[in-house]
Amino acid sequence: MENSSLRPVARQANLTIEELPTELVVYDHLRNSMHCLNRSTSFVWRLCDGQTTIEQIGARLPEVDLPAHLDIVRQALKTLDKAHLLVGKPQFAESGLPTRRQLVHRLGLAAGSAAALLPAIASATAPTPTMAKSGDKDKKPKKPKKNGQDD
Amino acid sequence: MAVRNSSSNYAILSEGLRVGFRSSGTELIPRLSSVFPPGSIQTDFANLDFVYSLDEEPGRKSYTAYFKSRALIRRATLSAALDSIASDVQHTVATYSRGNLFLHAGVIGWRGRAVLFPGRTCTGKSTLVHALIRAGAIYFSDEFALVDASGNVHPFARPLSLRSLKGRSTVCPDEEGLKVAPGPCRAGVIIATQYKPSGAWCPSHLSQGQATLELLRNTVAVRSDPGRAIRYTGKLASSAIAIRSPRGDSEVAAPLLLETLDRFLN
Repeated sequence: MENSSLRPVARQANLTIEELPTELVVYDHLRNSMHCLNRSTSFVWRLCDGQTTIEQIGARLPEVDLPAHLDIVRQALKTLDKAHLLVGKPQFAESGLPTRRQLVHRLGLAAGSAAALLPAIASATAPTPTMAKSGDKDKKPKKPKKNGQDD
Repeated sequence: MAVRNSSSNYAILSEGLRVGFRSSGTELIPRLSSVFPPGSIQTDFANLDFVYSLDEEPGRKSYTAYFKSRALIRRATLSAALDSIASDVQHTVATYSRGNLFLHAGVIGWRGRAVLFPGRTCTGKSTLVHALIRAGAIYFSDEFALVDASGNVHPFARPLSLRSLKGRSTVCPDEEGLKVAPGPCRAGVIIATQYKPSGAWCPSHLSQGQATLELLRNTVAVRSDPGRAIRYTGKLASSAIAIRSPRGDSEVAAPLLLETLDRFLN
């Protein structure tokens, strides 16, 4: 059961954050992982200050050209939680959360623009120097994982 | 105490690092010069950050190479021993560089801008770079992009190391009359590409953040200095167009890729 006054908190500890014009690149020192937060995810994350409710965050989504829909906020929080970028785990029922494809259909977004607008995080593990040096030809570099896409 | 370079000791300064080389035989020092990273300059054998050694086993014509006290290769031919030192020196300088940030990438120059192909060893960068410079591009490197704080890309023009079914071969661009970059320039395009047997060239754009992430995935020292890594790669990505595409054979991909670059850079 969701707490309707959920006030998520963005993690700050042990992170290096680089602000780009519309995105954020985050390095997690604890996990040696790297993330690229797209525009809408960056927007939601910045509003996770422990004071702002998810309803208030949702009401501001038109500032990033998205409808004021609570499921978009939940989708963003789900991807942020998966990337370990929130303090604590947001308490909402993921079972009721639509998939990305369902959300695109529900919101009436064109498929191409949805990919750019809906919350998404691209993640990768930071390589060690040895990983790059080994040159094992059977090892393929991992493609960045994209959170927020359909399972 | 500073020791002058002697017939068995030699030191270089590379990217702010002082790297020393010792050998058991006086005739080996000139051969060691082949392993120095491009852009290295001679310095005193003193206050060294790292030391490599090359020992010849008496009467056996075999060699053992050491990094500090760790053997890189034992009882090998001279060529194999020198190759192992060369590879390790480049990797050490890339990892601990106090100057430029090292990214694993093939780099060419085209229409006055640097074009980067980030990717780790054995992803086909050298083959692609070789095809492109034979088609008229300027050679920066087949292994490392050196990025400074302003986002400029510096050449690291080592001999290309090409792999084929017959084994590995080395190509010196200047010996083939190919153009080598004389100095740094701004990045123009970042291309995330990987060889696939049936790969078709069909580029799609990457955002600045996605491009930065792609560069970070191939940054040698990202774990030891993530702040600098993110700043430098973010700066580089801010001045460049970034695309991703699979590709097929280099001979087929090269002209298609240059057509794409002409559209972006003209």
